[in-house]
Amino acid sequence: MSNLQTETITMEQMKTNKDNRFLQFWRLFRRKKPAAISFYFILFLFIMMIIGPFVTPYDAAEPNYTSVLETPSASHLFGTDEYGRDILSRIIAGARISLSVSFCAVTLGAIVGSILGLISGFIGKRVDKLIMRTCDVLFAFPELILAIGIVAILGPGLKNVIIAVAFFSVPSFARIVRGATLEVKEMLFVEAEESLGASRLRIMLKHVFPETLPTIIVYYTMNVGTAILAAASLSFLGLGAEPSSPDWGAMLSVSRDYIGTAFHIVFFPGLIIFLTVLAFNLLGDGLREMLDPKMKD
Amino acid sequence: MPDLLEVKNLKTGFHTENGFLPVVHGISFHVNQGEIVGLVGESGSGKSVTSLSILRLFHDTHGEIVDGGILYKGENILTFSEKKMTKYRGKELSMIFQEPMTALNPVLKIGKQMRETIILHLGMSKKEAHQYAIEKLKSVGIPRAEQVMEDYPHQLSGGMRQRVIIAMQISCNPSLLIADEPTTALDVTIQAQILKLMEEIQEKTNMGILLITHDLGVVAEICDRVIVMYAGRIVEEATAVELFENPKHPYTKGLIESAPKIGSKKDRLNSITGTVPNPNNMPKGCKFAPRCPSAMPICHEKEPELMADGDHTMRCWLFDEEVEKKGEMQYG
Repeated sequence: MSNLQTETITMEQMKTNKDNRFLQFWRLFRRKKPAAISFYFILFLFIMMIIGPFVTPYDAAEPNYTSVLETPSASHLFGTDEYGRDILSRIIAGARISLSVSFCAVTLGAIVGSILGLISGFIGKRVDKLIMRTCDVLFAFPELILAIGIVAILGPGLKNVIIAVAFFSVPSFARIVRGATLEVKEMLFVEAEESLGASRLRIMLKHVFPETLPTIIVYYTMNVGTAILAAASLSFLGLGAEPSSPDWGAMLSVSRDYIGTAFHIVFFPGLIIFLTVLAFNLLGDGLREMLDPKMKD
Repeated sequence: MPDLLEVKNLKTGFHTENGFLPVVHGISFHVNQGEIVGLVGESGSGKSVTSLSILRLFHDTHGEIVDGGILYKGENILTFSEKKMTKYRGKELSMIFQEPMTALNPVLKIGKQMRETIILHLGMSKKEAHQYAIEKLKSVGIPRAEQVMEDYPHQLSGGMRQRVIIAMQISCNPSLLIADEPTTALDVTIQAQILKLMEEIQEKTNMGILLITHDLGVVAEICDRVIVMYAGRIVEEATAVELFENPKHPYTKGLIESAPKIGSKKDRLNSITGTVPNPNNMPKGCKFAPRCPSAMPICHEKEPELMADGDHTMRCWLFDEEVEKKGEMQYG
């Protein structure tokens, strides 16, 4: 009977503890205005990503030759492009492509990079040297050149853009996770765990990895911004999305011929890229202030 | 029956940029079942390295045991595979660390950390382990153990954390507990409580405890036998009573004199002049000679061996019969 009672108490406490921690985090986060606004903006983009096609005023792919290169007006808030397609609709439709490409790429890069960094930092010695020197080699290439090179090898297309962007984010994740791992590894509790008979693998996965998570989260957020930019650049160069598709980079690429006559068709896709990247960077900054133990005091 | 722990001629050192740097120079001692042995010495005398050697915890440092043997219940643990050693750590040999503030994982709840070891070594289910952990926490005098299981380490005070660590380390009933300055980071009243707790646990479970400390007060409080280390060597070994009543080695005397005493009228504490020699630059002869008030010419020439006088051993020329005779001839 008493056993049952203690069990229920602890379960209840677990719940309140968790709620409290989340609420506390949220309350503190909301006070950081730029990060909070960025968060809402990104949330908005995500909602658009999901419900976009159902709410857009016009079909993103449907040409309308009666209204070509129209300037912004009440019927076309962002104006129309050279085929008379509504730019607002295309930007909303493009959110799907741009965001999913960059998220896939960063996720892939983060997973591979974090595993490599964790192994590198935890095992050290020759493994560490091998991984880190390989990363140095990759760092020696300008990111975009590296991505262009990979797409050139694999051929253009969104899937290959994902691989290319993921590829160049691997070394930076590896390096940053390695640093965090080295720091955590030196902490006494790791030695204490070992003195209790925990195996090396267990310590690495259950004790060291969770401590590096805040670093990974922050870096992940910031990297999404970079990835959007890189994916847009590749599309702009004609190596990513098809020119006719509403990808933000591809839209810029196609419309640059009209920059002198119809400024708005370059301006709005550019603006949305700028705002999205900025939002991810500000969100990352905010998260770092919250999560990074070094910035807490 | 073999001793619980027997360390034989242990030599440990670190690989540095300037080559191998020996830190522990062939020390030998033993710990019996149900005995509390104190290992005393200044900072840098090799106490902690000795304890790390016994658990073979040198992964991330450049430390290496280069010679000697460590027999646990008659088996040489230096020959164990890493896998076997992992099974022994926590289950047979356990260690309490100096800093209770950092020896617990800050992002995991106490309960989770306690259960982990128990599930690993005793093969209990999560629920059983939970109840078992609560019992263990209660046994080290933690009130409201159920709540503590759900707390994070930062929610507990230093004394509580050290209790949690003790509970964790004894949860699988190890036969040998190594306590590396378990009370140094705690305030005095808590120190006394923790020492009392360790004594109680020792009486209950009959485990052997190797207590590493630089605090002679702690030694006087609970140890049966004391080993004094200096510069990686054992300089004196005796029962606790004998050591305090009749210290032989000048270093031990110095240590005892430099502890403050209530009721003494001196306004200054005695201290041993100088510092522990750097392992890179050890003096020739007795390593303590440069700081020794009663150093003789031979002390600077040749290092003395351990000499036994019944149960009391010391490493000092003052107690060498031949040197004594020579001295008499010279000065007598």
